[in-house]
Amino acid sequence: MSSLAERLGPLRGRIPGVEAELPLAVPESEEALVELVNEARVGGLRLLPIGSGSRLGGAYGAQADLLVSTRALTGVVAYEPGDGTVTALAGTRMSELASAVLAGGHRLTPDVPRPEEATLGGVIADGFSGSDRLRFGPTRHHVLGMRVLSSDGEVTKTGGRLVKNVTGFELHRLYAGSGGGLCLILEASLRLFAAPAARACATFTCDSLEAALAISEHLGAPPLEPTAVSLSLGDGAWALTATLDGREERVTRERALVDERVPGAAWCAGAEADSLHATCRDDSPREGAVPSLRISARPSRARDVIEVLLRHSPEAALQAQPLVGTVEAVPGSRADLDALCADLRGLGASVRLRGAAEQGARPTNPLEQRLKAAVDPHDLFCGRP
Amino acid sequence: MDSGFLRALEQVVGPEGLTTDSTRRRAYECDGLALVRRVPDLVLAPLDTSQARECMRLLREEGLAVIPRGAGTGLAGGATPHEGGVVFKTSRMRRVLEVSERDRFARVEAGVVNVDLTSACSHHGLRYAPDPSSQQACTIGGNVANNSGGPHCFRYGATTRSILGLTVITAEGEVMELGGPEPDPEGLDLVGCFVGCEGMLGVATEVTCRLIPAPETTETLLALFPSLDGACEAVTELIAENLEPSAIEILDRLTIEAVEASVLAAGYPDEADAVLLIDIDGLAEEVRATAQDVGEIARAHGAFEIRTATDAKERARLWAGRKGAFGAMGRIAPDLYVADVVVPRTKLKEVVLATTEICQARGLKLSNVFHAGDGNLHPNISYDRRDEVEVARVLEAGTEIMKACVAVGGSLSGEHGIGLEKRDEMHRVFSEADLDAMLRVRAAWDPDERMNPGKAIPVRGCMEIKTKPLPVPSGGSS
Repeated sequence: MSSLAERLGPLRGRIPGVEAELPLAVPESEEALVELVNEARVGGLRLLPIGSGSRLGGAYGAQADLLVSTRALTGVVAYEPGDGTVTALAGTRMSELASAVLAGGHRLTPDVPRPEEATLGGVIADGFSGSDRLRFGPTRHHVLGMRVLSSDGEVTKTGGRLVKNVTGFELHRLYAGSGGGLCLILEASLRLFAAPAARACATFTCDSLEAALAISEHLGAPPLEPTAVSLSLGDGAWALTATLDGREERVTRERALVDERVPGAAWCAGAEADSLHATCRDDSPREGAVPSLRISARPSRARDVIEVLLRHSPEAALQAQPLVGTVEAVPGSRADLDALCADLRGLGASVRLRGAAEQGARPTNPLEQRLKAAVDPHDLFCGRP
Repeated sequence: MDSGFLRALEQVVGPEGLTTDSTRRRAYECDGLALVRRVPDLVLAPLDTSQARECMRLLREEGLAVIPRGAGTGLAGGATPHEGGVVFKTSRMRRVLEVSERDRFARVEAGVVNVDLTSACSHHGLRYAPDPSSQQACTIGGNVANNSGGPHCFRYGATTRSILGLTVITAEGEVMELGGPEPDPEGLDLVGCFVGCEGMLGVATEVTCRLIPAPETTETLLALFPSLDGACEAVTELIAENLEPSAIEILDRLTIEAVEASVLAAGYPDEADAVLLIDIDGLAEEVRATAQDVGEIARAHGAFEIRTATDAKERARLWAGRKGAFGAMGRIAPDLYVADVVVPRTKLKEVVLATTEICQARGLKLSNVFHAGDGNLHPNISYDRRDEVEVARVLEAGTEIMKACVAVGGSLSGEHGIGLEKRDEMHRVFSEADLDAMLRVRAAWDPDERMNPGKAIPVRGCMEIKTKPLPVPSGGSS
């Protein structure tokens, strides 16, 4: 190990699937980060960029020499409520960012699980989309621009801080969701939306998947436009929670529509609804050493996906957004993960196995290989999408 | 061109897919940026992905430059064959391949006209959100290449937010299936990387588009202002108050006069110096409440009347006037320079004022019609391209407007793209390293740089090129 790793001090971290603890660098300034990247490149070390390290399942088995966290680079760089955008350093916690923009009447999207742990850079690099995706779309759609650090040690910019902008290639779309495999995110700008004036949550308990999905279809049919519809399985029952929010007039009307279409909902509003929404959001499976799956399929295939999952692993913990077509799951320890992934892909789903190695995973396509070689010619960053 | 090569191409696309005649090729010498022209060496129009792939393989063997083109409605010279080469036209690929009501997507060929996609899915209660002013003619493939916008981008986002998947053919003749109807791709977001590439990474032949439900209610308001300043201030406050209409447009007096004197007369009032045209979508109760708030803010900034479209016909007429405004400008002068810049929404008034001063100082006739809600300005300068002195003044004004926008944190283009028009201005917003990063990504897709060469990213290492204005119109060459 080079002197760089030795100089880093006592901090250590662990990549799922890797036995050894690795040195963890937490540079306190951009300059220190640039210096570290330059030294690592010269020393032939490979880095795994991380935020707080709360979702490292995608880096399972990564052959890194060093973990580099941006969590010390914190703070809002620019927030002008009248522009409806926010720019912050990568290590800023999502909860801190959400509070900052709420003061200006905005909601932060994505609404990610455990926002007090997650960092802006980590969320974007991971490509994880929040519970509000049904209404607002995936995280990658809200990223307006970034500043990133390349393996050459250069800081470059892509996009900007404007809600509409077609100046130059949208490289930030490539970096978002790249898992830290192309560059290190230093700063990002997000588009904001209006903070909801009112919120109500409806909960349904169903004794079958079919019944729960039938309700979710009613909840998603126009003109209803819920912010989130979340489905989970516990103690043999299916729990479906719909979050409605926005203007008071909208929420009142949507509540009436839900009651008309699907009588029998258990309702809560105000702070209670905020709390229930946060609980549903934060119940999302944790990622790390335990294998977990991120599954993405056409919404019409949500039932097939969940049935396949439960056939392979009846004890799986899962949380689904059936109207989006995404499922997060922690399969039971006896599940044959490779067979499960293959069957899910057979349904046309895209599958990301996290916290475990997958035999027969989708081969990286040649264009992605060329992009990796072009953007990170030193192969310094060992994250992956 | 070698006759054997031409015969091979003709065997792929048939005689109707190949244009060699110099007179017919002249129709492709420019797009909507008429200031720069050059007749292409050849025009190819494959009928589907398979033909497109075969054509691209033949072009690769000859090492020819490829200039992708949809309907040629772009305004930044993105489809101008300024270094010669083969125009690769997708407008014959116009089948709607699939519409999924349940999963809310449509898969179409790249040459499908924007408005035809919405027509194809409207009976399912769905629509395609991006609606550029040229939507009666522009193609979905062209929209993808330019990441096109339109008035309703304010709420629904530019094209990139509506594209789920692509079939792309690279310069090497590879066919790539990127993304698809699934919400998240496995691997890198190659769809997001491709959208807005201005034809420099490949040619999209099929596009999977996200559809959204038609709203229960749409209300269209027209707020009449005694000054353009007041209209700009009102927009800034609408944004600050987090109101979420689906479109917020401004038209100034000169634009109103031009539209009202044209066949697109929409009933815009002649007593206003500026109007705000606003669409509000959603549930009826929500729309009513938002409309009331919008009205109050507009009045607080001097609006002396708020009109509401009474029915779908009147709404359509108001929007037809807006979308046809550029065409109506032909009444003012033979040519129109449509600038496209974007600024933070708190800077609207400041930049509109600067734009007026820039044009006044050069004796130019300026009109404004723009996507105010997004901070996307379109200062339109009417001119006569036969007057070389005036052309030079127009180009100078365009550059000064860009500088004014960048100075307040804005950027070069909100929706038209960079193309040829703004290529050499890119250094105003990006460093050498930023531009190199773009070139590296480009090289991964197109190592020989044969896809739309000379566009969007400036040639560097030569400072002179950064300040060189666009060439004065020439007759072109073949």
